[in-house]
Amino acid sequence: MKFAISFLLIASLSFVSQQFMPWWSLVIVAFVISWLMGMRSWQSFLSGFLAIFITWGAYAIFLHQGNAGILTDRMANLLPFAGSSILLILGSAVFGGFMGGLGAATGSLGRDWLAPVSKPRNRGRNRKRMRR
Amino acid sequence: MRAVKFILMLLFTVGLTYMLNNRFAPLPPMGKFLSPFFGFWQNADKIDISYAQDIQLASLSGSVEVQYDDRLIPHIFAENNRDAMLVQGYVTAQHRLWQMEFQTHNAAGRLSELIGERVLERDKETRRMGMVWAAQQSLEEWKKTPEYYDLVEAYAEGVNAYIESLSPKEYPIEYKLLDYAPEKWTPLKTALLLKQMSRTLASKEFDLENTNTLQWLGEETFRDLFPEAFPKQSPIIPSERKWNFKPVKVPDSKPVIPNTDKLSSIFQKMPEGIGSNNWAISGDKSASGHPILCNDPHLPLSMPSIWYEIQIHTPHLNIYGVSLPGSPGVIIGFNEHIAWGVTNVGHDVSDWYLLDWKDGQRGEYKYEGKYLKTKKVIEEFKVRNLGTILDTVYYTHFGSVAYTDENDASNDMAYRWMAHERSNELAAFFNLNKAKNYDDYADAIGVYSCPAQNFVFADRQDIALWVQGKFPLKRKEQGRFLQKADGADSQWAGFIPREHNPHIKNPERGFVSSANQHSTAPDYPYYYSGASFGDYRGRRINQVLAEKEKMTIKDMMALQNDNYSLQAADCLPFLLQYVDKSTLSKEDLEQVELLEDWDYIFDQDKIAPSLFKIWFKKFYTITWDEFYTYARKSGTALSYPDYWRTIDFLENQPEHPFFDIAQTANEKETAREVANASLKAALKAAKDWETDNEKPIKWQSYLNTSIQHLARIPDFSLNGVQTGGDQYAPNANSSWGGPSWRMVVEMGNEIDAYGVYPGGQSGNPGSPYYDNFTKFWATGQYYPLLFMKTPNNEHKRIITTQKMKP
Repeated sequence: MKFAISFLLIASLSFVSQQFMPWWSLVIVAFVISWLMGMRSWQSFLSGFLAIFITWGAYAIFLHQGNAGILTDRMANLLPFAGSSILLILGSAVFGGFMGGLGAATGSLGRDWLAPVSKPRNRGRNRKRMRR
Repeated sequence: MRAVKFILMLLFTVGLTYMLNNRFAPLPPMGKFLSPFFGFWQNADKIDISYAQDIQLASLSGSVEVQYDDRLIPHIFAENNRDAMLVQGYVTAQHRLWQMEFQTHNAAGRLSELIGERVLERDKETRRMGMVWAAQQSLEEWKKTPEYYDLVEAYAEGVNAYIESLSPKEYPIEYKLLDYAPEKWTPLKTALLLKQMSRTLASKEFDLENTNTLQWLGEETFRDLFPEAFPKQSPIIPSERKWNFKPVKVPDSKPVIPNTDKLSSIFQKMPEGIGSNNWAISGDKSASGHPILCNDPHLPLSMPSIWYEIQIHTPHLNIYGVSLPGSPGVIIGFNEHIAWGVTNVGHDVSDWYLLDWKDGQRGEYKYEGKYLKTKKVIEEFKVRNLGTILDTVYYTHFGSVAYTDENDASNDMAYRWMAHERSNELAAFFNLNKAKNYDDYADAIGVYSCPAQNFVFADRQDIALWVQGKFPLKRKEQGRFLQKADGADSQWAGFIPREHNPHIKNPERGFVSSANQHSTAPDYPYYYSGASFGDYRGRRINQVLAEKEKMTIKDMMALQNDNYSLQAADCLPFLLQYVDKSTLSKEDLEQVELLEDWDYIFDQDKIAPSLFKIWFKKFYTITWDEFYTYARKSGTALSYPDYWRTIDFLENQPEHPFFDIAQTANEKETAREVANASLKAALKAAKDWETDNEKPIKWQSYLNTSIQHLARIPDFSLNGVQTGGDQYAPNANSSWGGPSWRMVVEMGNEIDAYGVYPGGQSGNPGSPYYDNFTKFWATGQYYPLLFMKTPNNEHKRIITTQKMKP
């Protein structure tokens, strides 16, 4: 559930932020949302990755189709994507997703350090820390 | 532990984000660039054009409507000329902003700001040539006609209004690739653009090369190899024209040619073969009884296209034609009364003067027994990733000291160039745009000085042609070689009075034409020399126009697309007569038969044109082997004999000493041996080409016409456009250049006009309108031009309308 909420929040808020802020606002959005959600870092990474992968990929496909692929064809040759529009779309989406994932993972690690949420499944780890 | 993890991750994320937001040449800032919200994806224009419908432009005085037709040609309807030019600036920027700015950065010697050190030398050459200075001179002249200067300012306001409306994600894609932002447009940029045309068209000279060659060969041989008049030529103004004026006296003393010490080349030369065709036929010669005017300017082709097609309608004006992105008005086109077109005049209007410095400081130079001071200008280059570089340029009263060696001032030369003169090209074009008859036309172009053009004219009654420009008064052979800067007699003695410029109106033969050949027959009373007079196209066009009667628009289009090369016709029979068939293999014989059966037409799917081209080139280089050897050994820049002269020797002096091959000391070769040796080499080269390329050496494949993107971005260029034609045929295609606009206009009661250019209206490689005309152009087809009298949303060819309001 948390994962789904996190995914939806990152996807929708970053979509809005990228309309009028630089592209890297997506990293900040993923960071903040993950901080608030307080999931484990790999879960956060995944939700950030998927959220941006989907928004970037879907938007790229939308633009690609409206343009009948004219520009994608040229760019897929100019950039090292072997002339394949599909690879270029995938490549952009994976790249955006990775940045989203990084932002999200960083957010959750920060939360973990400064304001850890007690998580039932994490008890072992917490105990270890208390002992120390 | 958690802190460490977090901090490491944070550093990694922030660091990576920072890196991807910045440029590591040659890569663009990848994060920005790949983002669909911001990067190149945003330049993927919708297939269905959707422009903002209502636009506020504060400096308009009335409302303006722009209707786009199905080829994306804007038809501007404005209430006055100022508003019209403002909107021309706006819509041109909307389609061509990056090109406009890049071209003027190039003209101003500022490319290194965008590209870096790689182009710094080119920028330095541009500044030393005095391009910016020349543009500033123009601007001062324009200000003297405030009614026209106001229009240039309006154009700039329009461009700037468009730039201000853009957010960075809407910048043209090239800005994103090179990671920079557009700057404000100014009237100076318009002046720079026009100076760049002078650089392309009116800077060709071989002063240094001729001088070196003369010193090497001696006077007699030089004159034998480099005669100035071509006996077969068919000049622009036919020899029937008598010059019934009293020419201005020019001193008849011989120019003194200084000794040089085998200098190497001065400026980068424009490639050979920039030329154009235009002609007009009278009503008597046309099937419809109405005059027809045609023009196809040949230029180095580039993407985005050189030309931007446009219609501008106001209560005082209704013009249609092609404009240069960056310059208001129309350069080649027609209005409701007249049509006009241009080709380049090949006269040499740039000369070099060897300076006699007082000392190595370049502060004073000798002139008429006294020492004159130079003016020092420090040029600043803000080179990308390198910082500011300074370069000092010295100015003499001749012009800038453009040829220098930092360590040795003894060969410094000053550059005298017509484009440095004050001129008002703008007034010429604005007045031409609104001309109603011959007198208006002749008056309008009277102030036009550089680059000189053959202005062809037609209205419903008359046809005419003026060779128009400001031409220096020269003594015989002045400016053909280097000159010394130390005396007044080496200066230009003044200028040819404008009314003495060659011109003709309604000639008996029923047509006027030009294709960059000599302006006049040798009886014209003023001396001029040229570095790029073409002859074959002009001869061919004049032949066809003289032979045919009652010509139609179709005939005109056929002549513009005519692939018949007189050069091949002049040359090939004399090469073939020498072929020794007994020494050829069966395969080679078949190739020779192809050449024997060939009709000299450079059609795209024939093999013979490729074979001839390679053969003639080999024949030329073996014939003039002495030149190549000497140039290589001495490091000297030389002039090379013209093709026509080479063919002339082949035909008339096959035993000319230059046919002897220098390396074979004991044998004496003639044209016969050279023809056979070059044939064997050519057939081998053709075979090798076929092996390497794995296809037959058809002309279109060998020619391989390519239209390069201005910044040489490979995937924005159009490579291997399949087309025929040849530089020496009317359809003057080469691998890098060709007809940049073809236009045919019949001056009936309703004007009937056709046109096409390679590329498309949009400068955006992501637009369906980027290169949509190219195929049509390559196959010799034309679009009917939509010349509107009133705005009409309902017209079936109008696809969208923009409304602009103050």
